[in-house]
Amino acid sequence: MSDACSRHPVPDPCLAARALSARGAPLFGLMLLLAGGFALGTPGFANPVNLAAISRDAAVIGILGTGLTLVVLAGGIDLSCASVLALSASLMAVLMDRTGSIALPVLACLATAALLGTGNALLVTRLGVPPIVATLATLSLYRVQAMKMVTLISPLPPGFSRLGAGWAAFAVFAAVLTAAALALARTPWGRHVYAAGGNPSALRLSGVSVGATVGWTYVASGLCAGVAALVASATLNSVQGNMFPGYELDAVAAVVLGGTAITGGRGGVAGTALGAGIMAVLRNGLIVAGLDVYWYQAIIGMAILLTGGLDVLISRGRLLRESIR
Amino acid sequence: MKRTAGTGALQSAGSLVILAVLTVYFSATRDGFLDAGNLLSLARQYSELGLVAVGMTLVIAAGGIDISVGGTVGLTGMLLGVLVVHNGWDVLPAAVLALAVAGCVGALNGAAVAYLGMQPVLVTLATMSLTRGAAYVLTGGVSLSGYPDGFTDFAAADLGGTGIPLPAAITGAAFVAGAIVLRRTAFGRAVLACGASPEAAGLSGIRVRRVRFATYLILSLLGGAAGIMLTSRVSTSFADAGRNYEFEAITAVVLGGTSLSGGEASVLGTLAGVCTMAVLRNGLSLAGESDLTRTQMLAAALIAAVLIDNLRRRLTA
Amino acid sequence: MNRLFLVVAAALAAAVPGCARPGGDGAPDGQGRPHVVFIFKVLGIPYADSLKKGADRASRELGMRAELLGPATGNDIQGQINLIEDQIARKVDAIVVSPNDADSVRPALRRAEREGIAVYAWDADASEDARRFYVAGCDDVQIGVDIAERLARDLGGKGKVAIMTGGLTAKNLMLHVEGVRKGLKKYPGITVVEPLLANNDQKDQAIKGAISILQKHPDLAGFACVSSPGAPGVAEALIQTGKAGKVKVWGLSLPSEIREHVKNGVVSGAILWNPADLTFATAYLVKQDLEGQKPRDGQEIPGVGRIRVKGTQVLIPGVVITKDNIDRLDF
Repeated sequence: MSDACSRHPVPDPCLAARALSARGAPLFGLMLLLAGGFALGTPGFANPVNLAAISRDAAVIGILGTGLTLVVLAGGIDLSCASVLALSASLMAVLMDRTGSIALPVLACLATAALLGTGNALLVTRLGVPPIVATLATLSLYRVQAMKMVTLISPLPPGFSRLGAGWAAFAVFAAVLTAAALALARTPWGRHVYAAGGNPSALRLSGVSVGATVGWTYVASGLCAGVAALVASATLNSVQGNMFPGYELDAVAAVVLGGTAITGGRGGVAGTALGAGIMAVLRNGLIVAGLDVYWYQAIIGMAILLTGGLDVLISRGRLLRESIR
Repeated sequence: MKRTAGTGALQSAGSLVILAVLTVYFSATRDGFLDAGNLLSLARQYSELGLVAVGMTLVIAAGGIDISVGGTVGLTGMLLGVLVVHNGWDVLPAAVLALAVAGCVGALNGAAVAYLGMQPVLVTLATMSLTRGAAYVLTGGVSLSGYPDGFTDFAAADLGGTGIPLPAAITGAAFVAGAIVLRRTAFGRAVLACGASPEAAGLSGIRVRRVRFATYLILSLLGGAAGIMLTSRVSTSFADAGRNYEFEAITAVVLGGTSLSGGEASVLGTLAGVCTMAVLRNGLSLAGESDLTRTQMLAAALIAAVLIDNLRRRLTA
Repeated sequence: MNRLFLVVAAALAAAVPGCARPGGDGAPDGQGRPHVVFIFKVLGIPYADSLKKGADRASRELGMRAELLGPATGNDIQGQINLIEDQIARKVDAIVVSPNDADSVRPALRRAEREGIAVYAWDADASEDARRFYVAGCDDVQIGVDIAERLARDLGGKGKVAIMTGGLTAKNLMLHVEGVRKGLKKYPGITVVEPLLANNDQKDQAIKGAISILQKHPDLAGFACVSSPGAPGVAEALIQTGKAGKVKVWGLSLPSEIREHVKNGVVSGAILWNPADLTFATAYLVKQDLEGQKPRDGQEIPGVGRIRVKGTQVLIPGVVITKDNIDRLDF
């Protein structure tokens, strides 16, 4: 499959293959293995309520990760996504607190998130600030603003928390995932995103603005963070300015675990979803099994190293075979 | 696109301007800023970050990046604690062992990036998780204290009665050494060449992979040293030590005019960057400003420095 | 070499010693008001906001300049040390600290005293040789015992109980947990399940931890929480798992954090003190101490009540928060 892909810069039918990448099946298997292990070894893990809790955790990381995947595919990175989540949730909570309504604050949350994402886009594409620097800066700027705006607003208007109950969060995640996957596979913009990361000069030569393509990925990432904000706030039934600190790294881990190349051009949202699933299962499993939850970070680190290393070795092996042929 | 390796006098202009402006402003408006005791105390506080920033300059100059060094700082400190406080080791052998572990982390980073060809962000994200997680697992997050007085006095000491804090003197020496290495030695020139154009460097006989490996190793060793120094200053090992150091170090490096794509770097520029961050924090703190405002101003300063640098490049292109 | 840089650096280096002023006057600010700085564990949680109200009240009513500072992230040991050293540089009159880790701030606090700054502790204790006295809203161990008592009574003396704390290094929290275990030991029908849950002062971690332990022990009967985000987090977890009302919760939270839950019976109650009162009382006693007078047992502090003094520990009256009185409490 990848042989055909390497002959054409950005062919359509290959995108599906690229999206899942060689890692899809092993990842899915790993997740099943983990889940199965915990289910057999720990009472209470396979309990439907617990599974719903896992799905909520996976949803927040997964939605953030989906937006982040778009950015990374186009060759960039967005470390500010958790801060965008916090700031848009804070604004929403303030409005909810003042007016008691739900619809308007929700819209404001999404609009703010998209706006914050646009801020990133402008820094990167118009002002020429390297993505890692730009989003590091906005990570601080947005997060501090959220903390200045809201310490704690709780509870949120009744009815809103239904978004956080049971499997609702996961349903939202599935919707976001589907939308992103369709955008990547079926729209011209999706193809441009892959090209911007994998072969930007070819894209430019075909007359498409690389800057605009990349810029829109940051806006999309912001928007995803806004959706994640809705889900997260509903789950907690409260909003704190310092909610979910450091989750941007969880999101990056999900993307990287899922097989999307950090340099761009290869990978997809399906992998990220699996990455998020694995992380949620692992975290919950450790707690329920009574193990030291601090193992979580170390294990995730090892997993990224192993999967990344394996990827490199496998592709080297393939190159070797091809050159021999 | 081939870039010439090296650095011009104007390269650190952005950070120097900001530093000068801030210094003048705070001197005039903040009572107690220019006090010798205050500045020396500030130097002591930033010694550990300074060490890390020196190493980060080398890594970035060679075209890489390392976001795991904060985790290494924490792991080294915790390891020291487990050996000395829990197991009664003498400080010196424990420190050597902890430093060796830090070196192993650096070797892991270097090997994966330089020899295996994995992406630096990927590898160091993984080792960041690994080291920070290990630091927590060692004691389940519980901090350790009970070090012998000799050890904790070390970081509180002054340099032979001059009033200059010992940690600051060590870091100062590291900056000088780093600057000399980068500018005056073959290794330093090789580092810059690797960052500017690995192909050209390879063609001119430089062992690119070995050079890159070395930069990661050096950074992690410096991180380990910082971890030990921090433990001495705080007289406690805590798993969270060094959190955010990598991002602050990168900020200092970028503020100092070093290019994130490698090839153009200045260790003294990084020093200016660290000083800028220290001055900013202190100036705001003396006015009772919250930590939050400082974080925002630092973020703004970072963007400003990059924009100034972009402008400089455009004007001198 | 970067010549321009060297020139500027040399100029700065020359200017600094020239302008440096040795020592300081250590006197109150221009208007003669004592400058007292409170350094808390972290900013951005409701408890900290409430503490600040006390500092503001002290500024208004006691003729002093009282500030509340703290690191922005949770359990930031280094951040607190930096803040303490900053206050030494500012030459404030008094530092009051609630340490994330008592051992690590000890050198900095002792240096502050050597430089002529009065050092005290409030909310969580520092080392005894590093502060003049310590003001608490409760006896750190006794409050744990009291929470345990109330929970045990709610459970009829039988059942499995989980304990949830905040960060693992704060001395006051460790003592609270010790108190809870001590209090529950009196009831042979009650077992404490492991592990000790830690929420690191974050509500989402409290929720996650609670759900997980509920899945591990489906017959869990009660929660004892000793850090303020614990009870609201556990309440959310109980609602999400459909166990609200069936599992009993006693905590150490602000009324504002658990108001709805207490009124709906999800949380049985909490034991606390008014953080604003705690800060105000401390400021009052600090001012008194700066004028040469130590705290007296049974002394009345306006708006707070009568304090108890045991050695160098001062206790202000606490409050048991239940459905009956929560509406009258506005903190």
